[in-house]
Amino acid sequence: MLDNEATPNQEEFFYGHIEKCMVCFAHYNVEKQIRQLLKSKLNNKEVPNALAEEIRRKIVS
Amino acid sequence: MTNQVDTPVKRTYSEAKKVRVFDGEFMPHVDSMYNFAYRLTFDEDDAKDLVQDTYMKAFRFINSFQEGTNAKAWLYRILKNSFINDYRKKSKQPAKVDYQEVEQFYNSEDTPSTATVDLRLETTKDMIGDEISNALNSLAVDFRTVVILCDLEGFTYEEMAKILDIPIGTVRSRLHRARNLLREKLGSYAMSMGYN
Ligand SMILES: [Zn+2]
Repeated sequence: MLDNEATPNQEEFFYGHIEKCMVCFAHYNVEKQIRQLLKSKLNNKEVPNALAEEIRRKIVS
Repeated sequence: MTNQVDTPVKRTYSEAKKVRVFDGEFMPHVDSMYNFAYRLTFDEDDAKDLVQDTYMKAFRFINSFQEGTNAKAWLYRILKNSFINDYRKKSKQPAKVDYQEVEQFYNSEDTPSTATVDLRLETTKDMIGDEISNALNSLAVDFRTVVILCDLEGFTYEEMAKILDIPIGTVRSRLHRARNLLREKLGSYAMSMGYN
C-alpha cells in the first residue's frame, strides 16, 4: 500500500477499512511515519570529490 | 512476467558511443551508488572501491546494457553482486549472517528485546537522525538492502526483484520482516510524530 504496489481496488478497500478500524489506522500511521523518518532524517554521505573523476579517468584510459 | 535481463541481446556499441552511454546514463548515479555502498560496507574506502569496481564492470559489460532501460537498477544490481561476490569475502567487517540464519535468529525465543528510546528525552534532529541510521544499520544486510532500495531509492518491487535476483514474493516478505524490525526499534518515534 505505502509502496504504491496496490491495485486501485485494493486501495479503495484499504482506505475504506482504516476509516472504521482504529487498529489498522494506527498501524498504517506508524508505518507511514517510519518511511518518512527514513526519507527525511537519514543524512547522505558526502561523496569524495575525486570519485567521479577517477572513474571517468579509468574508463577512458 | 517478461524478464529482459535474461534475454541475451547481442549489441555492440562503438567506442565513442560507449563513452556517451557511460557518461549520460551511468555517471549521474555516482552519488546514490556511493551512499548505497556506504550503507552496505560502513567504510568510506570500501564504499569508494566498491563503486569504482562497479563502474569498471559496468563499462566492461556495457554491451549488455540496453539503452533507455533503467540504468540505475542495472548499476545497483552490479554493485550488489560485487558486494556479495568480491567484497564480502575480503571485508574488514565480520562476516554477515545470511537471510536463513537471520530468519532463525529472529524466530528464536531468546532474542534480546531491543531497547526503544524515549523521544521525550532526545528531541534534537541529529539525535533522531542517528537513531534512525542506527536502527537501519542494525538490520542484517539482506533486510537493510530492501529498505534502502524501497524507501530511500524508491525502486518498485519488480525492479528490486531484478536487482537482488530474487522472486517478487521474497522481496515482499523480506520487506515485511525488515519493517517489523524497524517498527520495533523506531515505533516510539513514529507514534509520537504521528499523534503530536
Ligand atoms: Zn482493521
